[in-house]
Amino acid sequence: MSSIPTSKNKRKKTTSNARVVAAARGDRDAKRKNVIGVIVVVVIAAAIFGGIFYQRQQATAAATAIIPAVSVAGADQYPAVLDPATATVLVGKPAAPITIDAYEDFLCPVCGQFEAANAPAIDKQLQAGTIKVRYHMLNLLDDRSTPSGYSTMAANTALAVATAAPARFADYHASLFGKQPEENGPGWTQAQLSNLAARLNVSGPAFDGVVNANTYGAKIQANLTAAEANPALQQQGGFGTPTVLANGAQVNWQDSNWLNALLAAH
Amino acid sequence: MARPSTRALDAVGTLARLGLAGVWLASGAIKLVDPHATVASVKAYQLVPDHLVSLVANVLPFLELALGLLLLFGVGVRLVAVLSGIVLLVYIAGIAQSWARGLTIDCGCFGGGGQVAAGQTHYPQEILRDTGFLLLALWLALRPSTLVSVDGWLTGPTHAATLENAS
Repeated sequence: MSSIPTSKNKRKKTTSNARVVAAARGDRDAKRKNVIGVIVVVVIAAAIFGGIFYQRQQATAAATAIIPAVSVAGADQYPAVLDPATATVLVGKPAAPITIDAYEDFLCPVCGQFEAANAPAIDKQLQAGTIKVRYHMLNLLDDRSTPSGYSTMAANTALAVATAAPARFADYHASLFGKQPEENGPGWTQAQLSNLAARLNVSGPAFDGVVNANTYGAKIQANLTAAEANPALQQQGGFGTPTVLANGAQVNWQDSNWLNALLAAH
Repeated sequence: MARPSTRALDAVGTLARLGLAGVWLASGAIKLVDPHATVASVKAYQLVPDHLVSLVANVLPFLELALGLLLLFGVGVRLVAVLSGIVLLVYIAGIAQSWARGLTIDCGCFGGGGQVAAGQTHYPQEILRDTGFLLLALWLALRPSTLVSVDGWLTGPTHAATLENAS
């Protein structure tokens, strides 16, 4: 009997000692929990502000980039004529027997590849007077820039160049395809597009008028809608850019020999 | 009723923690390396104003990586689990509203994203998957105790262990 209270006392004592230890530990735990909470908040905040900072930096870098001006070797050998009614530009000697219709979007990477692969050969044939090229500049990828609308803005600015200084159109067209902005990026701003024009010696009221009024914006959109509905322009899976026609019939521009084959056939 | 041992529950929690960490690290890294695709996928939800799309798309990967790293090392597991749950709920709400509005997009949860053809959406699977991740977060929010974590290292023996010693 006597041993029970002793044991009970002992246990009580142990328990109360443990409680004191646990309480002290609890205090320390609470402090450490606060430290952990602060660490979490700091890390999350650093991530968010890091993201914002990174985005700002990218945006600034993109906005201050310069589009290099490209000079097309033979561009002074053949005319470029704007057709305001259709918002297209016909480049080449009027007597050239083959008319190529090129449907392009300045944001479209595949169009850029097409231009990179074919522009020198096309320039050569334009000089020789065997072909002329009608450029249909569309806004198929208008929603692939952030903010939306780069395709329309670039096409309208190219048409502004064709309005004010047709002789510089080939250079402007080649420059925009020479350094395309990335899809889903911000695209070039109007200031950057106008700056490129200025470095190609294109400026003045005629140019500014088209740019400021977005003169061809609606026509560019209408041209896209018409192209998408035109059976002659459909490729596998619908209308896409680039689409290339020679005297009204589609050519397989993915065949690297398409231009030679075309010339041989005429 | 036989209760699973503390250690077994801690092991389950550890799996949940590392699993969720892996999810955040993978999706954050994929988003970070292809920022333009991330922009496209944020845009496709048509929830964020155009001028803020790029900002949101640049913050998300860093936020996800931060959540992933905190979980990986087990720092503030309960708080991070709650934050993860909130982010996942926002994602699920985003996917659900796209479904309800009849948008045809890919969630872009692990890269990709953007518009897809009408028959190519996977809304139920995407929501189910995110709900699975949400359950991991829920477990950790309710029972943040796990093995090998900075939390455990900082707070010493777990409370359960303290109580066992005391009794």
